[in-house]
Amino acid sequence: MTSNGSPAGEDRWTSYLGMVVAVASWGMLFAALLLSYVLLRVQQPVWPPLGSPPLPLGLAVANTAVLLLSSVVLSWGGRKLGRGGREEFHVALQWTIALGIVFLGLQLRLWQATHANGLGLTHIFGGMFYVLTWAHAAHIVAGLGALLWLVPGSRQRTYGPERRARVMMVSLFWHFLDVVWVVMFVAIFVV
Amino acid sequence: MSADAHHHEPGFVGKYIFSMDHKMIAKQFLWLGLVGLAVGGLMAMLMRWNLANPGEAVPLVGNMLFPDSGGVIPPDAYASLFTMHGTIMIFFAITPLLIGCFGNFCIPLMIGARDMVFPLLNMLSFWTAALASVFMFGSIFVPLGGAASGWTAYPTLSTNVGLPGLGMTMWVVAIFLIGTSSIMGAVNYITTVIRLRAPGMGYFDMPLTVWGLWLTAILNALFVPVIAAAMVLLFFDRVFGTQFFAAGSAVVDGTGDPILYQHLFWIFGHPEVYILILPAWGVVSDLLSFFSRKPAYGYKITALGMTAVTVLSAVVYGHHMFSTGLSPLLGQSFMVLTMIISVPAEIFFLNWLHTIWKGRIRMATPMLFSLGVVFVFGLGGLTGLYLASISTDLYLHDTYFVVGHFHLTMAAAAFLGFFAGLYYWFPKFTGRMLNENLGKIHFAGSIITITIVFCGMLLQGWAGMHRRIYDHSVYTYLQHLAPMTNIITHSALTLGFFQLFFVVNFFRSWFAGEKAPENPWQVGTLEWATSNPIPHGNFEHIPVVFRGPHEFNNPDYAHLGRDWVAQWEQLPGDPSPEERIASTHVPAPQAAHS
Repeated sequence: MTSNGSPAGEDRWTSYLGMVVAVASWGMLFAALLLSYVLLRVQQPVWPPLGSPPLPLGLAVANTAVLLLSSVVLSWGGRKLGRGGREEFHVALQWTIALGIVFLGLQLRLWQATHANGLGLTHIFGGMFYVLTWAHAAHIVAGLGALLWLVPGSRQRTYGPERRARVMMVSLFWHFLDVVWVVMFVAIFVV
Repeated sequence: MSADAHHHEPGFVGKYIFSMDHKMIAKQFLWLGLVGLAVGGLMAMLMRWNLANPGEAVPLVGNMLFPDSGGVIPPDAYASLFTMHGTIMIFFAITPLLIGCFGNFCIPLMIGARDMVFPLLNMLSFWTAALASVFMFGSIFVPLGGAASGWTAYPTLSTNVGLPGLGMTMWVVAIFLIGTSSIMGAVNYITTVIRLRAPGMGYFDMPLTVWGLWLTAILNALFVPVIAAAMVLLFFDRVFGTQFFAAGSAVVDGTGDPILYQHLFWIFGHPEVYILILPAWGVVSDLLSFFSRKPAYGYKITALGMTAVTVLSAVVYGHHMFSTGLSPLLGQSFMVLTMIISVPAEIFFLNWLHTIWKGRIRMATPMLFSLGVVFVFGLGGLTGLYLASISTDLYLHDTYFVVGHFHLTMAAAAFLGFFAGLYYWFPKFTGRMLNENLGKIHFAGSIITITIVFCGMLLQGWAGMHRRIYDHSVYTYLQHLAPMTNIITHSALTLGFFQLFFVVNFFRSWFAGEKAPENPWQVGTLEWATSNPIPHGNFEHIPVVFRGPHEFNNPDYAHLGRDWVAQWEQLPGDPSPEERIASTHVPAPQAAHS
């Protein structure tokens, strides 16, 4: 990646590369948690184990749709920004944050529902379910913080085609959390 | 980032405490690591006392440390001692010294950068490590004592079933935090090496020290998160009552699995041993060349060999679990992969020997310690083969043979590598030289006692001595080993004594040592291109690199009247800076910006 682009281009890729490495680290964290889920699961004759309360699938589907949409919106805004669309990016950023908050709200509803159904932490499936979703939600909170960090600059239209290292870094993190959620959704609710 | 950007003088807090200068952060890591090394070393002395004199009060400090038992180390305290010894040495001595200190100090200077690419993240990395050490050292003093599950923290020893106290929980938190610190450092190191190399410095123009530190950073970034995940799950088991690692916890709800922890731990744990030794390999590969006044033999192959070991280290972890009932097919696969890893390791080991062969060797202290690494790593590497093979491992598992093996390969080799590097870079660090005579006594005393201690352990393990027994004298089949235990203990205490020569040397030289010349070792890597003390921003002008790091006794440059040529020297016949930059595709670096 040692391209001979403009100085600004160099800076952008340096920051971005750091974020790529960090996301690889986070990826290994979630991969290790999911591996634990798989290794515990393959040892059980039935999964979820007998007597496990049902999971609210509808909420989870809605959740997934919301988070996917947030990624699509952010990605659209980022592309616009690359071509000078500062207005569009600002709108997209606000929508992404709103959708992230909706995701967290739905996630809270999901936990209330599983708790009401009697899925506890001492239950092996329940324990894994809560560790995975809590770890992810904690990172979503961090991701929302990062998105909010972009707001002042975006409001003043500071970010543009030549100045969007932060935007690229935060977007990468957000898309990563989206991918992690989709894998979790498939692992917990689908297969 | 130009040098002008740094003209404002930071205050005391900005300069010494919350510093973002990689050189100051390196010093902070050095002090943290030296404290860890001292505490971990004294713990080892206590353990050795107990092994040779079970049931006898520890002289001098016994009544102060263990007042309830009249100065005798009680069994639970002994378990805590070996646990904390291992944990502190790995995470709070080798990690801060070789990765935190050398990584921070050497990488920017040796690649010709003004600082790390993310200075703020660098500062956070140190302070996260400091917070982790508060948890780790504090855990010893809480009710029910510190962690006592072995450094591996296998459940059920490490869950509330085995250790209900707060100390173990604090240990879990401390490991999570020090892991976070390592990852922050790794993000910085990896990015810095890729983006901030001086113009003209291709990957194969980097010193091998930088190669070692860079590969370590890659392993840190990818595998430390796995133990972080294990610590999260263990924390949940201990605090929130989950059952991930409890076998047979509930028939109806399904059960947890203690072996799951071992998988997670060793997926991290095997790369970890290479994380610890790769910086030392890198340092030694460079120093052997510098002090033999010869180019590093097979430089590129050494770099690629270390890379091959790095890649393979990710797929051999199962050899730690041969005795867990692993499927024989998996076991054999792991055995073969483990054996394969010795091939690249042997190749660069032979490169080391080729490098010193017929060299004009200068027996300065850094060279002595480097040769020490070659010796102990050779011994440790060979004994590793017995543990890689399933049939012998099943017998040797959890014996002192394992203890001897890993202390030679990753403990003794890493610390000797650290000392080699410290004696070598001390002039750059402080502007003063360490005393050579004290250094040579330190080396001679250390290498002899290390050999006796750890080779003795190999023999005892071969004889069947288990690694975690409190009092061997109660087992008839081990009683005849008592004289050897005595010899090992005496050697270990002597090893501890010889470190005093280093302590005296270190403090005396730091404040009142002989002033160092600009290039005391006559070596041409980039850290010697800048003045002493190193200015903020490191280099007045970032040098352009024209050649590799090991240009010694090249007959083409005989007319210069010296046996070395610096990486930054443009000599007749070299391309112009522009041509060099064009041919290596490494332009002047740009710092990170938003």
